[in-house]
Amino acid sequence: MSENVIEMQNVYKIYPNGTVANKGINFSVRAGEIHALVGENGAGKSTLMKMLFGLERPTGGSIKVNGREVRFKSPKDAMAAGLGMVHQEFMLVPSFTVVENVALGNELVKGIICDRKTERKKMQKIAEEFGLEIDLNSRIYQLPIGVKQRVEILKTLYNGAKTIILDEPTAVLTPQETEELFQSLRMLVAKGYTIILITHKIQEVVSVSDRVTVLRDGAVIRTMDTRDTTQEEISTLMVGRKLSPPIARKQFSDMETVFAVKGLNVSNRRKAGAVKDVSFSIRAGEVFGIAGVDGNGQTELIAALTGFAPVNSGEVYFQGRKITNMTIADLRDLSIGYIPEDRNTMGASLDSSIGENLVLNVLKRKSFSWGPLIDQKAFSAYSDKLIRNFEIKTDSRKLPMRSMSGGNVQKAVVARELSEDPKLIIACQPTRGVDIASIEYIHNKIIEQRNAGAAVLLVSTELTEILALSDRIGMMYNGELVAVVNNDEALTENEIGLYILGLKRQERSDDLA
Amino acid sequence: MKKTVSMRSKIWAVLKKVFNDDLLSVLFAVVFSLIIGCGLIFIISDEPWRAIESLFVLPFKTSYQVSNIFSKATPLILLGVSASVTFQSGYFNMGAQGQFYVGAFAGTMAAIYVTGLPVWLHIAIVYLAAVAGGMLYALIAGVLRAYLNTNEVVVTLMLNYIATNLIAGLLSGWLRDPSGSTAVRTQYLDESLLLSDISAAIPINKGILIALAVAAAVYFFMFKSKSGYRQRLVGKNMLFARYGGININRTILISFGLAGAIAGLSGAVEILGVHGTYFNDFASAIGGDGLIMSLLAGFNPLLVVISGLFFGYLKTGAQIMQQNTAITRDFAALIQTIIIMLISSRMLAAYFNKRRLNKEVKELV
Amino acid sequence: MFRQFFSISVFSVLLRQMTPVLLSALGCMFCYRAGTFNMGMEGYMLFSAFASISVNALTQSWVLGLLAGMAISILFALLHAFFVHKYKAHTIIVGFAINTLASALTIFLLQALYGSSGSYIPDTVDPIPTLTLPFLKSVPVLDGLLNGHSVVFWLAILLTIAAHITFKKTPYGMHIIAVGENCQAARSVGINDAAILYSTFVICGALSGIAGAFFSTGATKIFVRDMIAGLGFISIAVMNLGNGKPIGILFASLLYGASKTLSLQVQTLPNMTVPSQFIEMIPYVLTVIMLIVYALVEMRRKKAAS
Repeated sequence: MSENVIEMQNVYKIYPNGTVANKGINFSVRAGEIHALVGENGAGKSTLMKMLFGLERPTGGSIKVNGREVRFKSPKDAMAAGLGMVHQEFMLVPSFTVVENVALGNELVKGIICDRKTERKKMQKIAEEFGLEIDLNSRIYQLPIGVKQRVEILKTLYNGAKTIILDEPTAVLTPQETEELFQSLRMLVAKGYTIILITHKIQEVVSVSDRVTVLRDGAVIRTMDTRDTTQEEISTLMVGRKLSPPIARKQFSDMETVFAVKGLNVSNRRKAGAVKDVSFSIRAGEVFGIAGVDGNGQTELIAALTGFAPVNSGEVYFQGRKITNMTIADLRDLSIGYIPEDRNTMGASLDSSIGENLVLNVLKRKSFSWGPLIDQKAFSAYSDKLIRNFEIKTDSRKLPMRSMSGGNVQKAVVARELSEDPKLIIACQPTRGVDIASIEYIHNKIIEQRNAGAAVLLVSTELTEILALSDRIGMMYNGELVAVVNNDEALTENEIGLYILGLKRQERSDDLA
Repeated sequence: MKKTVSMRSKIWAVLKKVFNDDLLSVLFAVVFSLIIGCGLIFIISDEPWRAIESLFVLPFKTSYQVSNIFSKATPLILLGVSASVTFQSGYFNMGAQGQFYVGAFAGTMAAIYVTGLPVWLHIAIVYLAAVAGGMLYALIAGVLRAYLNTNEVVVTLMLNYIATNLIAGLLSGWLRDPSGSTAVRTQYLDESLLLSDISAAIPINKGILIALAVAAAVYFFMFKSKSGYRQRLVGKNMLFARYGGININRTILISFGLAGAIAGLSGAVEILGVHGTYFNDFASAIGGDGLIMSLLAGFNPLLVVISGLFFGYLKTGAQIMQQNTAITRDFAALIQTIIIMLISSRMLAAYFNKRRLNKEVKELV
Repeated sequence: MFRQFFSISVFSVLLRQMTPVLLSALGCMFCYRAGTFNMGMEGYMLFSAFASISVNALTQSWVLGLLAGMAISILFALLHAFFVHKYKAHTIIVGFAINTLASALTIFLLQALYGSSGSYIPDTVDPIPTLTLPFLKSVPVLDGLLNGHSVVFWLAILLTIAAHITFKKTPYGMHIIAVGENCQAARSVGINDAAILYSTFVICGALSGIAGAFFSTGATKIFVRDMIAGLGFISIAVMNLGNGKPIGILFASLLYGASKTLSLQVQTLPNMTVPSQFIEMIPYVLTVIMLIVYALVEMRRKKAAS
């Protein structure tokens, strides 16, 4: 029986504002294993590992590494104890080279000057030994996401980690790249490393881990050997109940085209982000999902469609009317709902009250104002109605948006955008970082609107979400729409993966509509 | 993991409510810095009690002094409201000083060189000139910010120095009082244009009424109108405002234009209500004072009235103190700055919050 | 008249005008690269000017005066950093508070300690020396160009070079940039971002302290109320124009020095009918122009890149 490399006993984390992130956690990791830590968004997995890595301090309990009790004051201590972490959001400085990033915090010096030469040699050796293909002299902002992740892994190895924690590493990878990552992980384990894998994707747990620990609401539900359990069991433990599938999609025929994009070209600073000659159309009562790895033009495409970026060439039509390059204000007057990618920076004003957030779109309505003045009663009634109808959990519309959980903030965004039954809904990463109950709710709302006749443009990096909601799926790679297919029984995640990795292209037919 | 509901935590709950309130921490900071100020008086003065009496009590002694409180409060309130306008939209207009002077100067020019009009029209033109002057001067920085994204902090600060120097240069030469006095100022304005007291029974200058009216109007604008909602939203999250279709450039122009207009108006009120002439650098720190009023009031125009009146009172007291003892007026400025240091840090609220939360957390584990 | 504008003595005036701006802008740059906008230099310099002349007059030592100025300046810079970091105060507001406090407090002390309401001109000031290399005295052109400048000027040049090396080649410099560009990333490798913040403020305080001492005991031997006259703010613009890099700042402060020198020279011309205040306005106007130019360049650069 191998020894426990990590032992966390009765660990608590309670934040100053009263939030309990982890309670009474007992978690241990054996040497040489791949241990998966699963739970839905908000279950407390990241927080637990941040404590292990020294980014947060536990409020109670003890942590032992290799049998010795430790109190990490900062990641430096954790690294010295042989731990390394690859974070969910890349911890890289964009303007630095790979060498500068990997060495950050642990630079080798000759006197007071950095010794880049020696550093580079060391890194080259490690990269070769572990099969990590990276151009050490390139700057981070030039690199695609898959390479950036390799840089992060290189960083942990360079800093002498023997136990590596990976936080949701596959969120940004295609199925093929995920398999490549798992090969690397298996190789590391074969060389004696220990891996802790944080994920909410149960399929991955089953395919690569030796043991799995399920977290829910900040507490450990169970730890088990992976081979002794099933995907369904893990899923049930994660959520506490059986997951219900989204409501059925109604069948339509011969609906009119609500939204059409023809030959769209959008340019950007960096080559990889441009949009090249994209065309597609969406009918009423149809969900068109765009799948693709982050950074292949989706963000720029949506920016152009919503008035945030100019269109170089091509046209956009809404209900037969040309809306290319319209201002954001004019677009807002049309019956289009837009759920943006980032709810914290664009979807909501966290420091404003919930009520103030909810009325953003109805400011211009004559029934809500007396000339230039606001009719406070009408506004309040409207906000309360939305809070009720969309089951947003809050005590009052006067509370700041910030006081709600991520899931509820997203529900508020969805409420605001969907409440006027728009003819077109543009939804970008609508359930990113959201708890499962809210995910189900939002998915059902989208299908509801679709069934009532709305056209939906869904952009998501989560293939499961795309497959669950879409009628037709477009795949984006390197700024191009490389394929458009119907979402039928035969379509698999793997096949989508091939397209969005650029390994396969669909034959260009004139009628992609 | 039981939460102990003891007497202690009940008291903490009450204290938590009290000290969570920004308003009360402001009050605390004011009292605290007054105590520091009094301490300083005791250290440096030979007759500390006379100084304290002059500072706190004598402002209420005569009706002349009481009217002084309101006179001094008037520009503080107006400039505080001006600062609140830009702060609420998230911009830093540090140029109230320059906008104030330009407005005052423009008003004075209109008073002196526009002739042949009936008095009521002439007065209107004077105010109009002042408002326009302040507004346009502020819009220089506003336009630069909106269309070139320049840093408005440095631009407005530079514009202050430019305005002061420009006017000084004009006053010492071409536009000087032709009556031959050595003072660096314009001629005295015609009596008919000046702002008088409210009535014989209330010997307080009408300027305060203008200040109160403007404060109420701006409050209404900011919190009860659609335009105000947009201005405040831009201050809270500009990207979100843009996403909602709000024209950001327009909010910048409104913000700076309105702030400058109010500052210019304040300049005219000072000329017409207090001085009767424009003499060089007649209100040298008033811009900064306005910022402090606004900070103290949490950028709320109505609360600015309170902070403005309070500092009008302090300044009157400091002036009396200077007459009666050796301590100069700059003392009031000192108090002011100690207050901002404390306010800006919200030190007190944060301190109490932290203690309370640490206690609660320990009980939970 | 040509000679009046381009003589060697004018050159030394230029360097003298450039020195405090260069120091202050370098200080501002450190805080800026670390991610915090610092506009308190005006206050730091004013405090330092007052402290250094006071200590200098008392001890007749320019070294002690300089150190006193730096100490006070660093103290307030630390206070600034403390309020920003510990209590999440807004850096512009704290900077504004320190500037106002400096003005009020120095005027107050001017009155309380020296009984003056305008200026303080002690007899016993030991001025900061100028540097004259004896072997250069006999070389015709170089003697005029290089000799006779204040020690502070040469210090400023050395510090510029040191800053340049720091950011390009030392771990400390890398850490500062990392904290400024992606604070989370810096924290994740164990860099103490609070320590970086405080240290950059200390550096800014130190550099402003030197500049302040130069004002009252280097270029002149006098303290006048509000004598910094906006230079602390101008140095922010200079830092912007220099693109936040030491060598760029060197050139930008040269530009500023030239404009100030020009305005001083114009004032001494015979038959000068333009009021002196208009001439004094020139550096401020130039600063606004600098900011506009910088903004235009930035816009063009962003357009070209897309």
